[in-house]
Amino acid sequence: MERNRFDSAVSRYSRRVFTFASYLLGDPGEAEDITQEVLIKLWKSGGKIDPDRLGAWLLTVTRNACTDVLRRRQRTAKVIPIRRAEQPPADCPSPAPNPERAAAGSQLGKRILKALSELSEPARTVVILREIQGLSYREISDVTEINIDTVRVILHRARRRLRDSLKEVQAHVVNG
Amino acid sequence: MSSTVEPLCCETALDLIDPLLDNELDGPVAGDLRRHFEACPNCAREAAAAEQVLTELRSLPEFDPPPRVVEHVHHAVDRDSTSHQRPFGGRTRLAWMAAAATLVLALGAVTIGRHQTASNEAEARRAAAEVTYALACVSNITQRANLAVRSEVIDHRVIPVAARGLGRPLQQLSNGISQGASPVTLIEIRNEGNS
Repeated sequence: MERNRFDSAVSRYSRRVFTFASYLLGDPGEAEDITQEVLIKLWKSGGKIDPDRLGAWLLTVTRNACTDVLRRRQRTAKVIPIRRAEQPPADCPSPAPNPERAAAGSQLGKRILKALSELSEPARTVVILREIQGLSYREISDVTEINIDTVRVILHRARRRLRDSLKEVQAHVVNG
Repeated sequence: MSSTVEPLCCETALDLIDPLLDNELDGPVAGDLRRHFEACPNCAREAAAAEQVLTELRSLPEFDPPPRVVEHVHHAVDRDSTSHQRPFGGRTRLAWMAAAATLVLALGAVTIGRHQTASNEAEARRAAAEVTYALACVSNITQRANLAVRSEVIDHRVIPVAARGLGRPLQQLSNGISQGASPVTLIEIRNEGNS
């Protein structure tokens, strides 16, 4: 890949990759590592990726890398807490934006993030790509390699699960 | 989706909440659904909850990575680019090594071929074994460098000349290379030549 094409791809897609990894992992530090890894993989691909599929390719690679991280977490049975805005890590020179901080203004937002993190795969991926990143069903199908009808079903069930897990808060919001 | 004649039941209404929020329902069906919500507080509550969840999700921001992430990527790419452009780096260096080794071996093999007539047979066999070993190393290097030197130079230029008058060891090596023998096989040939 030519350097200028690579640089323009980084400018265009790094936000999308970092956002996806941040919500999928719930940890901005790990999302940074994944973003670096994915962008370097793009460079090493040597321009073999179809430019029309570049966005989908990057998200697919990001998802695979995040899946590896999530598997490692499960294997080690270690709970990695979401870093809190009020407790930035000592080695972090400037606190990275993170999902929890973004939702800090709203109790419902916090609960939604928690419910999102409890969704299993591929439901979590589908919800993030559709509702937060605004991808079409076709684009989600390209990224996840799941057919469109199945993507619709997964999203429908995931939305219901989110609603169910938020019923308490909903009742509070509707009544209060 | 077209309008339904029958009033919507709750099950259908709940299934239509997602398409409604995705703006995928035709006007008449959306109208039927709204009328159902007016008459059914439970479904209306579900629809309100669903809408609120989606509103919250869709209001979550996207993030730019911290500048250090992109800086690290650029540094890594710069380092990678530099190593590819270095005149004597990576595969270029291997190619030069292979070419130089091949030249030395070609000269050595020719010398051995000429020397053999004036020396005793034991010396010639030892020299042939050394050449065999060296050729195995060159073969390895040229394979790593992905060069055509291996077949074009070693097989057709070096070995026939060196094998002339040396007899079995180099001839065997030549056969081995033409059959695609690995360096390990070639080293085994060398050992056989020594025995």
